[in-house]
Amino acid sequence: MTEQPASNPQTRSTPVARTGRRRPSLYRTVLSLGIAAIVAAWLPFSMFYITAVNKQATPVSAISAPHSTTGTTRVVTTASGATQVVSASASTGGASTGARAATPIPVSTRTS
Amino acid sequence: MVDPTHQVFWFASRAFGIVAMILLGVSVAVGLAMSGRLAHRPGLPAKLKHFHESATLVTLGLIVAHGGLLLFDSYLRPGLAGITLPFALSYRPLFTGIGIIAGWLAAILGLSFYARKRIGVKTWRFMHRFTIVVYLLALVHVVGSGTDARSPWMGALLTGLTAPIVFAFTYRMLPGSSRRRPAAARGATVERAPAIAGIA
Repeated sequence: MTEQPASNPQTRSTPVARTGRRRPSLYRTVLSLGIAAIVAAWLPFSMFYITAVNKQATPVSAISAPHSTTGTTRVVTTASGATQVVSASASTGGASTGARAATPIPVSTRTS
Repeated sequence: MVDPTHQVFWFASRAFGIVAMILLGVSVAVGLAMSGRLAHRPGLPAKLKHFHESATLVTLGLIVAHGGLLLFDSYLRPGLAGITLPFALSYRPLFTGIGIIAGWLAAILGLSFYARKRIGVKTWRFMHRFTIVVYLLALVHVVGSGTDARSPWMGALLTGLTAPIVFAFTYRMLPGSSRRRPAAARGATVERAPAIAGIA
């Protein structure tokens, strides 16, 4: 950056400001700033990661259908041996059947 | 519980993008402060110039990391064209395209410092004035395509970054502000004139 007088061998390799203090090399400052930036990036990264880990998976059963919220369900076995969930919905007044898994299916989407 | 292991590159890209935005804002603010002669203390302009140059180089590295890490994201799969060509990415093409333009502009304007002897200091100074455009484009990119744009912490961060830039830019644009230097300082900075004068 700053040209040093060639007659002074002591200051030829070390840039010295007019005040006499050593000026830090660009390489050192860039390296220090780069390391600081990586460390600083760790904070939002860990925040995103922890948020994603703690995010609860939304089960399908939690997604309520308009007419099944007040109903009661029971599991029945059909003549063919298949298991079915029979829902007796109070709002519709009738029974509806549908084959669905007994355990909730987690819905996994990209977080944030 | 959700296993976010497959999203680590997405998170890392976003994290580097945030840090790049912070460092870009700081670098632009420092550049404007230097050009507007906001820093009067003897020796301070040289230190600020050194920091400005270093911060710009690190910012460019962070921008490369921000885009490059997306290449490994199995969900987005942008491909090399998606991260280098504006408006080629299917995910929010307008705002990601603006981000890519900002990245290229940052690289061209930032690295042109090292080619100023070839292109001429006057041309370089003229080019360097458009650095503020890089910040504005980056700001639009963050607000438009950033998944955290609506978060209160992001709003606070962007406000904190933009306010000093607006102040320094306004101060710089006021008539007579850029040439206002005390006589003593004018004599002391003669030696550094080629380097400092370049910061438009």
